[in-house]
Amino acid sequence: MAFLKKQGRERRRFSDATLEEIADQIMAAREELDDRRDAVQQCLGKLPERDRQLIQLRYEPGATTKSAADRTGRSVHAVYKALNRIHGQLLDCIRQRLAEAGV
Amino acid sequence: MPLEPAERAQLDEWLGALRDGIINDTQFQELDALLRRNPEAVRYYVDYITLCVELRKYRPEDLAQVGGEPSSEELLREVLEQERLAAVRRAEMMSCELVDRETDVNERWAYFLARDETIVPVRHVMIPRSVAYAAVAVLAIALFWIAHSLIATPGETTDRSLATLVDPLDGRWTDPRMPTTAGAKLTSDMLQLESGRVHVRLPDGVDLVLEGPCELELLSGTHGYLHSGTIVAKVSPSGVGYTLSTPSALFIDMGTGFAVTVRGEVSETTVFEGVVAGRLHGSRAEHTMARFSAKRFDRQTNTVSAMPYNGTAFAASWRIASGKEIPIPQCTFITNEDEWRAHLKYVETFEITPEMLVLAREVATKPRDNTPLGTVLTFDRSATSLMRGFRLRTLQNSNPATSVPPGFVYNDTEDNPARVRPGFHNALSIGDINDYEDDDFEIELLDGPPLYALAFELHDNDLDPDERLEIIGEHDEVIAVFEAPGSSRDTGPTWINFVGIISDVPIRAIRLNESPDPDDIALGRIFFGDR
Repeated sequence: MAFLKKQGRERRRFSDATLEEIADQIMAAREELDDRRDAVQQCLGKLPERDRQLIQLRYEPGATTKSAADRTGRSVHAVYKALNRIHGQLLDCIRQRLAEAGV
Repeated sequence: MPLEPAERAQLDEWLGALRDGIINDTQFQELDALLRRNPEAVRYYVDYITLCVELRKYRPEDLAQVGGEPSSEELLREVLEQERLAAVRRAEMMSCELVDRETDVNERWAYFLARDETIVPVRHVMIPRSVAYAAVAVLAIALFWIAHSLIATPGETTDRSLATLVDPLDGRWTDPRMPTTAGAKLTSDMLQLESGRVHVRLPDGVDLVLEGPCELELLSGTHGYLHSGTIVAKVSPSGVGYTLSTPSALFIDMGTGFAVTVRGEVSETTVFEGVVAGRLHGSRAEHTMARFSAKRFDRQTNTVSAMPYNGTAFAASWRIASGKEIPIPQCTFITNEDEWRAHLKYVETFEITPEMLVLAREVATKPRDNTPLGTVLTFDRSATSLMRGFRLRTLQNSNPATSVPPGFVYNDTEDNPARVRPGFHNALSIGDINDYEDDDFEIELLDGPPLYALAFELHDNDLDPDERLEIIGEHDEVIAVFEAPGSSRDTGPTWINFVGIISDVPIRAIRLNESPDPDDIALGRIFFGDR
């Protein structure tokens, strides 16, 4: 594990307090996984086709923002911005769905 | 505390940068501070990371499920369990968020890992708080890591200088604005080499030689993404842990020298020194590669397969990266039994006796002198109690008169029924004694641990320069060839030569190729050695 420790010193990492907060929240998220997954699928279904394709290109195995940009003929910066926007939309949608479901 | 719109916008920006690995130190510290002071920001962050994990699994056909029957809870539990296990594996191998801490979190994690295979997660199961805490902490780490490493890969050019151009050599960048002067700082994350080679050094003692055409993305000083082409890496002790992602796999250096070639969704890794750990994307299985080994990680077929080590293909780049010659596996030929044994910790001996020969699948009863035994003798581990199963085969041409390939003969007395000829006692004659034959034979390993040392007694009444011993590797490659393997031309009254092999790479078989002449050859004791 020495190399991990070594790498750890080089990596950015959250503080203990932040990690503990994240751990608590993830525990809560695990309890909601069924609902959350349904919400993700429903929200993906509401995305415009172009955005859905971009998500697929970005998250298929081995893909990168650059490879998604290459395949869509758009600049990396444009794809980066588009992905940020789509993520934001999806998060809003998912949160709304979960709230409607009483989660 | 709800997120203010400005905070939300800022958070979106930071998380995007985090996802694509381009977040800088200041941004990261500010993100950490926000998460620390605002639980709603933490929730948002976890939602975001969870979304990324879901999107990784997203396929268009999933949409068909929308509005339809929900997935079964059982399936989702399995998904969750796989996530959890993957989290543990990833955390164990990749992450160091917790292991480097001196808090009791470390102990909790260790406790969790120790229980790794027994915990059944999710609802309806009471999980001790400490274990649950460790579990979610590990999951957090994994998700964090996923966001950084698996999902993430930037294409953005930043003002960071992640590498130094040690020597432009004969390399030609795709972008003519890239530096071509030795010592220049490389400020672009994306290194696209059209042709030739360049020598690049990362800050932490990682020397990379790119072989054009090649496209390498520097995600950080300790993590790269090879989109295509070949790089040869020499990692100094300070750079141990250097991670290289490819479209098909992820590799972690453990203090070593290695090469990776990416062609589409296939990555081939060759290890010259030390150890490299690799994992196919989407798989939990880790593959450890030691020196003189090579593996192919194929994402299309989801397979990882061993390939022959071919260090010489990277000799020039390795010389540039390390200043050393490429390590070539050695195969040593030793004709003195004591000397051969001195290299080994343990030796198993297979005696050519009726008691041992009857253990062959093909032999029904203990053979007497001059008993033909056929062309193949298979010895299973379960029968011999040796660590390895093996097979003996004669490789002679068929007798022109009978079209029957000559087989083994135990204690051949063909030339003198009154007694076994010296040198053919307790031995398997390859074919008969009287005819002109090419007494070729093979010893092939069937199973058991890798074999690096093999020896046998060659009962031979004469050795000619054109006789060859071939050493065959695990991938059917010829590791080495030795001419006239006996210790001397005239071996005296016993006519026994000791033939010992010690190899740096595993031996699968040896083949003796004898010239078709009046020589008569027999195989005596066989030795399997372990270092």
